[in-house]
Amino acid sequence: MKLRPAVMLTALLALLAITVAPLPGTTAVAQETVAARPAPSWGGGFRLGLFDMTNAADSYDEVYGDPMPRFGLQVERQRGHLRYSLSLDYGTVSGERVLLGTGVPSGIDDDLTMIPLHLTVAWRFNPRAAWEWSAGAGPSFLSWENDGVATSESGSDFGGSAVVALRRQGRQWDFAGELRWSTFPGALDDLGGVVSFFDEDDPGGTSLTLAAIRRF
Amino acid sequence: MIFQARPLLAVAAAGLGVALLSFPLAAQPLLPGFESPDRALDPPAADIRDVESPDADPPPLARRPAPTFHAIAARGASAVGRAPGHVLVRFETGLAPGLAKQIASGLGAPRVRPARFGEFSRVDVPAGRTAEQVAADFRAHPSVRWAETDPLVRAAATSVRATANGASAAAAITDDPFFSRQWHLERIGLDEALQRNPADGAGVIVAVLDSGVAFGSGNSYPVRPVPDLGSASFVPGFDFVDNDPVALDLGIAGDDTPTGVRFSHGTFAASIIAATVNNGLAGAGIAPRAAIMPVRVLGIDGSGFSSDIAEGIRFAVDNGARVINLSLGGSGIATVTREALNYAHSRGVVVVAASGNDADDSEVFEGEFDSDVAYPARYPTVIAVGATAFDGRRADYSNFGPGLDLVAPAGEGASNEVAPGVRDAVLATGFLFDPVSRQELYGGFWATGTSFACPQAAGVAALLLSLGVDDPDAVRTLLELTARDLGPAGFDTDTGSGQLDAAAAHRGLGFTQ
Repeated sequence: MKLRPAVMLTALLALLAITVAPLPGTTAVAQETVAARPAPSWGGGFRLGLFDMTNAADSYDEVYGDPMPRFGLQVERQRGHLRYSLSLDYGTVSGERVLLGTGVPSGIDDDLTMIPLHLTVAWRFNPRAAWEWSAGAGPSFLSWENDGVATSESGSDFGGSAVVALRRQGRQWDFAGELRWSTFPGALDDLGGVVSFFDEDDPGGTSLTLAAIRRF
Repeated sequence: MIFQARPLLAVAAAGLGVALLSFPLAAQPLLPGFESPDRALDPPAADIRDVESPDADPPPLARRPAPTFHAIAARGASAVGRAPGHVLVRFETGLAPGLAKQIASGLGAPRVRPARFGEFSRVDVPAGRTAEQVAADFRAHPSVRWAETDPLVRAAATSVRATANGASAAAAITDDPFFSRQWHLERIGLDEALQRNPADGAGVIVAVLDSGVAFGSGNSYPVRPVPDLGSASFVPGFDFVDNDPVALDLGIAGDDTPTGVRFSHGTFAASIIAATVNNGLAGAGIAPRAAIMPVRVLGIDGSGFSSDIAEGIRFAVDNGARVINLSLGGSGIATVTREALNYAHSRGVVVVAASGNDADDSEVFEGEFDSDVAYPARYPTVIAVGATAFDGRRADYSNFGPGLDLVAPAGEGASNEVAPGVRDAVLATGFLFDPVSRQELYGGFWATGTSFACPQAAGVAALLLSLGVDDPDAVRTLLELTARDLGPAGFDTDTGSGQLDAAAAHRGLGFTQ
């Protein structure tokens, strides 16, 4: 999938445009208000994004091709320059089993479901600004299931992730865009299928996620 | 060809009957092209020349006396060979049946019998005229789309030999005692395929257009099923030879007489496809959870009309079959068959056919046979399957040519021992039946022929369909692209795309499985 980087970059730019654009009813006054908001605070909200299994790109592209849509929930705690967040996403993608290297469709459905859980500690570079950049990392846990018409494989494994995020901080709601890279080495070890052929055992990859966080 | 009897050997845990016999069924399995009705009326006899009574103990399961086979001299044509005393006519669409009869009467052939399955009619050839003459008259009529004679096809087995029944080490997927000697299953990678395919063919109906299949229940022939098909599932079929809805296997005679010892050609093919696995009995099938639809199109002389096959194909398609196995072939092109095959393809049905067994006999028939792929295998919508010997070569008898799609291991000689207890043939279950003494011998047999390569491809097709493949072209592509290349790199006319590889057809298709 040669267009993936361009697509991801376009999406990221769109995300930035959305977050940079003034929110309805928000002005410089809002920024002053945010700056005055006391930390620490709790937050929780919804997430929506796309995931691409860049760590097993050959296998993923062979069967699925398109990025996996995801949605989920996030809770977080902010304190000074630090943000601790816990996010749980659910994503599923449908593809078709293929003959390796031929591009010949088999007609056999193949579905992949992934449920990643990320615990992230992020450094907020400018916590009092309306536009806040952050970067972080943390441990992750992945549960996955690969369903064919008559067969199924599933597993779970620990891994980790790193994230950069840009957040528009509002009075009650924050809107964030995050670019996350995750890794789960060995999670697909000892399996058959295309992951075996390409010798790819890491179902991690890159995700681009938009989140709406309600502050408490 | 000598029909030799040997002492019966050991007995299987299941108690299948044991004998060591050589039973060459159809050394000249494909009939000539039937250019003339005389020729068609005069099919060459199958080739059993001598049978001796086996000096053996009774088969324990059947608890019957050992079968007594009669010495049979080789003989030429006889009345057993069915004569195509009719021509096939397709009238223009929309023509009223009454008008069709009127046209036929006008052409001097008043007996018109519309097909039950298919848009054609059989017109009986009146006395004093040949089928070609009648067909030509009909072709000249403006309301007739086509008219032609009805070519015969023939079962594509070469030789059969009963096997010793000794149990041997259980293999990975089954405790069936024959499994470790079913080398054809190892060659096609069935073990891995079944491990990757828990569906095992479930939900797929495989129509076996053949001599019928031994199924049902009871203890007396012909309703007693082959034990290893006892738990297989069957769906209703049809007997197009005797025109009844019960397509029991009446066998194929080794010679051309009604009294000839018969082999269960169709049951053997069905056993290769769907024999029960892991029942501690006999051998393993390729798609053990597939359902078998018995469709009888071959008479006891081993031949069948193309029109019956065409009707059988349409019957199978209309009744839910997703794979059709045609372990038969001939050199005659039949419009009625081609149209039926196109119909099957348009309905998403995979059709697999034997390439024919004439490659080593062509010189015998002085050009009346060629070694090219037989019909219906050669039709483009059909997967044409040839046979390989134990050593991986194309079997000497296996027809070849540009129309060949792939090959499967079916051995080169049921008498050739290639390893202790292993012969250069396919090992599966069936029965021999002596219509004179009413003796029957159920058990394992070594058999060779593209007849028994073809069901292997049909079984793998059923496995793929049970996984969700829904397009016959996709099945063909899967089988061809995953076939193990033999001979020169890429496609070659001897082995097509290569040897059937069930494991490769399943391997790497999914993301993790």
